Amino acid sequence: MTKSIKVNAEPTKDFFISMLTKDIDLKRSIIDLVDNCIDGARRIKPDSDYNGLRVNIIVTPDKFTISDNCGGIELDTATNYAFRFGRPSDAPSTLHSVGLFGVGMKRAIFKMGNEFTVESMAETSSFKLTQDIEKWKSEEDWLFEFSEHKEGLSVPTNETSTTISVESLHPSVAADFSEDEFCQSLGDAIGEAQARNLHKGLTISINDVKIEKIQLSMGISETVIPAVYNESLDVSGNEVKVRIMIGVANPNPNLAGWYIFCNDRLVVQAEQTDLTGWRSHGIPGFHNDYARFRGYLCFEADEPKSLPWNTTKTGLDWGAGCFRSIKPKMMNLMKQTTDFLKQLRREKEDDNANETPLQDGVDESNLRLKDVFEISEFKDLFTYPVSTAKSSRSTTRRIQYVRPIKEVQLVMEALEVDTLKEVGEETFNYFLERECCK
Amino acid sequence: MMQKQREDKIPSYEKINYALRPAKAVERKMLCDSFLRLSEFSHISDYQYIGFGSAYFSDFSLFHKRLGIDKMISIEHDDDQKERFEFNNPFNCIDIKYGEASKVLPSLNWDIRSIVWLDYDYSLSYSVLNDLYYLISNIPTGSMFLVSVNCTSASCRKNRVEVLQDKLKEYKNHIPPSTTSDQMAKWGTAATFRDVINNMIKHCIIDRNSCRPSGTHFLYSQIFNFHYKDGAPMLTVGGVFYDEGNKEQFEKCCFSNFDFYKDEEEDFLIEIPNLTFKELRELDAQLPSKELEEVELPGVKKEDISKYSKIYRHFPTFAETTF
Repeated sequence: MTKSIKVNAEPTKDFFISMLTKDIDLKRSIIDLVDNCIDGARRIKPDSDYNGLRVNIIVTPDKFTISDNCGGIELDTATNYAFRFGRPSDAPSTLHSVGLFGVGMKRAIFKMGNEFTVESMAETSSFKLTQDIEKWKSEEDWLFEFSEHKEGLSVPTNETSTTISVESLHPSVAADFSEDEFCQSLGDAIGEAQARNLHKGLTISINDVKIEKIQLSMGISETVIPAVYNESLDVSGNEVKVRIMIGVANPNPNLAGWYIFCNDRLVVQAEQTDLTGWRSHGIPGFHNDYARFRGYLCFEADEPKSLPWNTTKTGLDWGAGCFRSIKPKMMNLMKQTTDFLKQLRREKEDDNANETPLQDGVDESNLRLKDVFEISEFKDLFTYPVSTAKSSRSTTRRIQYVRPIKEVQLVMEALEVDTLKEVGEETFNYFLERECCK
Repeated sequence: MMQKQREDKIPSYEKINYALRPAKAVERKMLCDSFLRLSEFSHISDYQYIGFGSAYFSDFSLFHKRLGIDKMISIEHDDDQKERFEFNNPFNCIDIKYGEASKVLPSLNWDIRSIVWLDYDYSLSYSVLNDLYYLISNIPTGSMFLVSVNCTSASCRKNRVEVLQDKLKEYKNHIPPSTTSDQMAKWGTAATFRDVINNMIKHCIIDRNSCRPSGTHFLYSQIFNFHYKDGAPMLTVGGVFYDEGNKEQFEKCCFSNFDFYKDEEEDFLIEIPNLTFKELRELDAQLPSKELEEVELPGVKKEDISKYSKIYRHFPTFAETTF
């Protein structure tokens, strides 16, 4: 009998850490940490009223700290799940969570530095865990150790907390953290990604500066009314609720496009390419005529694995079944809205128009801008007035061509005209009269 | 019945009186017969009919009178001539909606089982497939839809496939990869168009099914693949759209009983033999016949008798009248 030889296929920690941190940028990894705070908030506030809950981020060239009062991590969760790489299948899940793959916290820590501390005060237990990553790398096993822990506590929910800090920062991270510009753009990125949660009352601050809510706006007037569509999808036995809201707002080419949320987390914003249907199915490519366009696509699922986001939550898995199945509905609504904007432009171009019902419908004095999640007046179809502008189809065509200057001047003299436009028109008429008219 | 093409060609309704196109008339009556079978799903008068009525409304008249359908929508691209279309609207139940089909289709009420005939007088194009996209992404189960397109083969014998690819833009991958320019000669263009339309339908249905639990998946069964020629060669392809839960009803419709039932590539060619009234009456007296060989008429070619026997029940007779 041949003796069986086992082959070593264990990962090295070095490889593991470099793979984990390779495809995510620093800001995104910090937003992942905020996602964990929000999952905590969801657990303690199932009604989604996050008023009173805070996430404080302190960024200095020496140290990064994020702390929250969103429930803490119970000792049991910390021991068995929270520090595992990847979410064990038996891990208790937070319904509707944004923490999905069980990598966010570790990835962010590894991305930033070599030493970290996690301190938690949960309702019934507390712990502190400090780890030197270089030291951990040199060890055989994959374990971290608590430096303190207590059980059997009775802590009021509003006194629970979690603090994660990272020290001996990687030089490039320390350099980023020393710049005001970085903190500013981190704030912007968090403000966008967490826009929904800020609206639900959560306070997030960076170096004691509160991140302002951004408005995801949608306009309503007497005659121009946005549309909503709801559907419940079945993704391998799990329910995914989808909501599309579409309409117009004030023109801004940087804000126009599609916004896609997965469990309240904004993963795609102001999307203007064929991924969201532009330049396909008869819808034109994005250009400034569509600067008023706003589309919001929201996926919600108890089981976050069913959602179509990618692991860094920076985009969608565009081939995912639930996106494919909802896309025709997006296109239907988008067709209506882009058609309106096309007609609006035509109305503007029609100098003879006495009435401008379309422009009136979106005029600043009539169009009330609201946060899209606060609108209740939606209709099933995007609604807009009938255009009174002359026929949409032009009955004329423009002809353009290039000829040598000398020849053009000869023709100009022969025709006794002064402009190139006249040269074109007169030569055309000359031919038309002689060759084409009966 | 026809939608005007975007480019300002002279629309076919200005060139030809639809009522006098015999092959089309035969097709229309055959379709009407088959629509009746949909009553396995719902009573036929509960259906809505959506088509391109143009100024003649021939299909609308037939389907309203014969089937009792009174929810009718005619999509009319040519909004310059609203007055004319409104004037010619033959019944109070036809609602004319102006605009491109791709814009109108998404705005209709799709809670009602529907019969939709996208009857173009031009060739398969990007805009036809767009319309089809919006149709299939909306149409409810137990509905029937048809697409008619002009199938004149492109004159450039060498690169018909490339010409079609350019025309279809983002949908060009629906042309079967094995298609060659030579295959697209004569009726080959119609065959290729059917393949493209079929692939497009399948693709849209896969999207719609991607998050539906098993047992509720949408299905499409082709029923029609007509070829005919009143002037230009035309293709009409279509069938029934239903979900797995309606399979039994679909089977009860027994569409396969029809002589003109074609569920795959094979076509049903409608050919109109030139026969006199007297000849028609004489042939009618011998039809139907199990032995076509025995049907005879002095001086009339066997070939014409065979053509006539395929369509005699639906054969139109035209007569001059003074109103």
